[in-house]
Amino acid sequence: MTDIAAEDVSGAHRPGAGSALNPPNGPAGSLPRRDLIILPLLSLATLIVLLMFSEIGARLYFAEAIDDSCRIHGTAPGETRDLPNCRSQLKLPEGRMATYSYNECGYRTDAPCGPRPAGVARVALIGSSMVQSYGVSYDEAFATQAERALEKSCGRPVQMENLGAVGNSILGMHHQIGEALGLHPDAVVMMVDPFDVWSLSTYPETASPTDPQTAPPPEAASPDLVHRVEMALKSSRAVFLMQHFLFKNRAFYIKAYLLYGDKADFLRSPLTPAWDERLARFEWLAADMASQAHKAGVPFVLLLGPQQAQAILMSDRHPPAGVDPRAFGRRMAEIAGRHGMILIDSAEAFTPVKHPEDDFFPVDGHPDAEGNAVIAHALVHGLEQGAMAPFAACDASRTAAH
Amino acid sequence: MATASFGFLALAALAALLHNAWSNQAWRDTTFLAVNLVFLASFSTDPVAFAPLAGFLALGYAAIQVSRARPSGLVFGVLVVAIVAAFAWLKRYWVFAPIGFIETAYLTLGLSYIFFRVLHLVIDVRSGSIEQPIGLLSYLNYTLNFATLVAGPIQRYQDFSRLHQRLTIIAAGRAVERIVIGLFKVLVLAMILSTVQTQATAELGPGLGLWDRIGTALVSIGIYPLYLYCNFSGYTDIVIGVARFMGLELPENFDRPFSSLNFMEFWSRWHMTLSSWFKAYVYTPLIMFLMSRFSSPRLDLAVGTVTFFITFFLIGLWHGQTFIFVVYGLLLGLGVSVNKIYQTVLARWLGRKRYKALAADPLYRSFARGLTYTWYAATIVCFWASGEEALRILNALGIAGASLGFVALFAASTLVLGVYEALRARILAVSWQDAPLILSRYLRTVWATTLAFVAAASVLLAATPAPDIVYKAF
Repeated sequence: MTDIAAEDVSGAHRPGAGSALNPPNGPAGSLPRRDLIILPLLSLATLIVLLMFSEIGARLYFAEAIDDSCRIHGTAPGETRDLPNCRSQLKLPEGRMATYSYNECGYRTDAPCGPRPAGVARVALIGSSMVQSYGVSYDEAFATQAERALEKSCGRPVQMENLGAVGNSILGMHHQIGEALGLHPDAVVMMVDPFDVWSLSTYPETASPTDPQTAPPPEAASPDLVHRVEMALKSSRAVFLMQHFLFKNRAFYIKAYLLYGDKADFLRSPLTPAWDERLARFEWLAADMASQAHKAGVPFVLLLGPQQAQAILMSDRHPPAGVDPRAFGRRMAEIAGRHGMILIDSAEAFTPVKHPEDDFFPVDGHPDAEGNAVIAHALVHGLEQGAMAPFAACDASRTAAH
Repeated sequence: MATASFGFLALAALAALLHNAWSNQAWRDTTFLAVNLVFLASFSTDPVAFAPLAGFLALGYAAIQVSRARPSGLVFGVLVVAIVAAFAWLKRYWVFAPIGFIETAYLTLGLSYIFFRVLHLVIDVRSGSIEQPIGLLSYLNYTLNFATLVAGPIQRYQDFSRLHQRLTIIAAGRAVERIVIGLFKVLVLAMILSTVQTQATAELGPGLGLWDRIGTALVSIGIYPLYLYCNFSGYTDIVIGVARFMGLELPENFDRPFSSLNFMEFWSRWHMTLSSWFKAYVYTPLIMFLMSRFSSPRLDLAVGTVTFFITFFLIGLWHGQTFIFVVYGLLLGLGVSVNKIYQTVLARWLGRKRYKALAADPLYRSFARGLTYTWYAATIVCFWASGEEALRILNALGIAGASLGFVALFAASTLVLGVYEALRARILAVSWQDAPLILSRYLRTVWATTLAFVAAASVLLAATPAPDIVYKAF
């Protein structure tokens, strides 16, 4: 190992020897004027080269392949869905390559979406990217895992018709309730996470399912310099890599997330007026969906998806002062109670998990395969405990594999 | 506050800013003391925790004032014994267990290094080596200097109080380069080596086959000196760089120790300021005393060997409060004593000319380097392993395994250090404008920038922080 430090000292031992700032041929203690420019520039050039190599290395290590050619916009504001019989591939920088195959109705499901065969239990899932298990292979998706577990415990075939689509809004979900009920399911499961509810505020008050022409507010037309730098940093894979490792540190992640302000305020009790407003809007939409389901004689299940910081805090015995990861779940339970919905809070299922931070893609924030397993377990348990006809008689002990 | 941290560097930047803002000495002394106290306060929020340290400093200051009056040998001896006893009691040395210790938690950070500085002042003031009066402000700044408080280097008061050098752009550049190198050693190299060493130590157990055990022990025991070097010399680089911003030239603590050809040379290149302190205040007075008592030339070797043994035994003992550090001291003493006897006997046997020729032989030098490293690696097990852990390692290896491991480490270190020396010589031989190219200011700028980048990236990306400075515990 080079004792570089000693070399620095050795400059004194060897007259005439050069050092970083002591030119070999110059008098000791003097620096040619040109070096006052050259040395900082050299340092800057080195830094640029290193950053370039880091970016290349990060792009190789964290390769990304996103093919969203199957995705289309629906008629409701923020509604997205997928093309029937379409197939695409997706590789998140933090995940493995996952294939997305959609059935004849455009659902990420192996099962057909036609009339329900006799003896088959069917669940219609509606939601956004989390329902579709973004970045996770079909076999590892929580819907698939839950389907297998329910078949095992119920001793009969189960079909999970997954209507979820990446980017789908709650307004879009509301629009899809009729389609979901048209599948004649034994239960409709609507999965929402805090981000879905927060996103409601990106649509103006006037936006409603009956007003499909209302669009989200357009983005600023000409981004300023700060915005451009911000975008460049966001698209840098080296920055992504740095975030990936930083976010794996749960303490750092929680500290950083709580700085989000309004977006993170669902973790504080009491909830802020802005969140009260969003939840009121959500309640109106969810109540209408539940009412339609009940009219059709179908139980309506509200499945709360976990948010990464919330899941981490759930397993934390001593969350920071003023932080309450259960505040959102409590309010949702009140809403569910008022409208006869069955509530399954999958975020609660992370309470006994020792390292919930390992169950999510750190930067992307979606649950990974392990996170999907936890959600699947919560869903199966909730359905079996929910007094719903096809699942109430299932033997939970047979799902011991979970 | 860890030395290799943003907080420390920010405090150092503030100190440098205050120091260079005004050249008035009173301003510099006052602001420096303020920074020193802020640094000290970062280690505890309980004022009571500082009381024992304050008491020790007060005892030291009183002893210096008494020494100024050139007291009798008896009074001086009592002063020295009182300081040593107070230090050993506060550090909870096992010999003081029967009389009991202070029950409440208190700060002992840097106490060992404060002890060395205080004793140096008391002795040198009495001997007249320090003639100028030492004011309280100056005394506190010297003993509590935030750059050297945690783990040295042990600077002489004469050097500390010398007129501070002006900060030039060259000095600033060198200081930055030094800090960057130190951060890289502590945050990157030491962290990697620590991870490998800790993992190997945990794996070492009777469940492994003999060769696996030897291989694992080779990694565990063989890597620790390298880790300690990166950790400690990295810290030293940082504080030397930081001090330069305040015009302070701290002494070097390391001079390529693993290039040493024998154990005595090793200790003149490893933790150099500690060795110098012991040489000045233990070895020299002791050998003078013994030679005055046993003046026969036939006894020179015995007197020299005994003095070396006692000095290094005390160095070992200083490293820790438990019984295993007695063993460490004995092994250090044994190493230098055997080294001294071997050198003297071989020189007598071969004659000066042949001995010199042998010492210059590249193969002999390689073996000597390897043996020095191996002995240090073996002795330092007492330093990093508790008594139980050392026994666990020994039990896992058995006598045969330990012997084979020693030979394997000797062979490996001989080979690795030999290759390193050869490579280093080749690299330094590549010259540009009559100086080694590697030392060109341009290459060093690129090198330092790269190290800074890697160190920053590793801090951001590492899941766990780098180990703290090992010598902080002393």
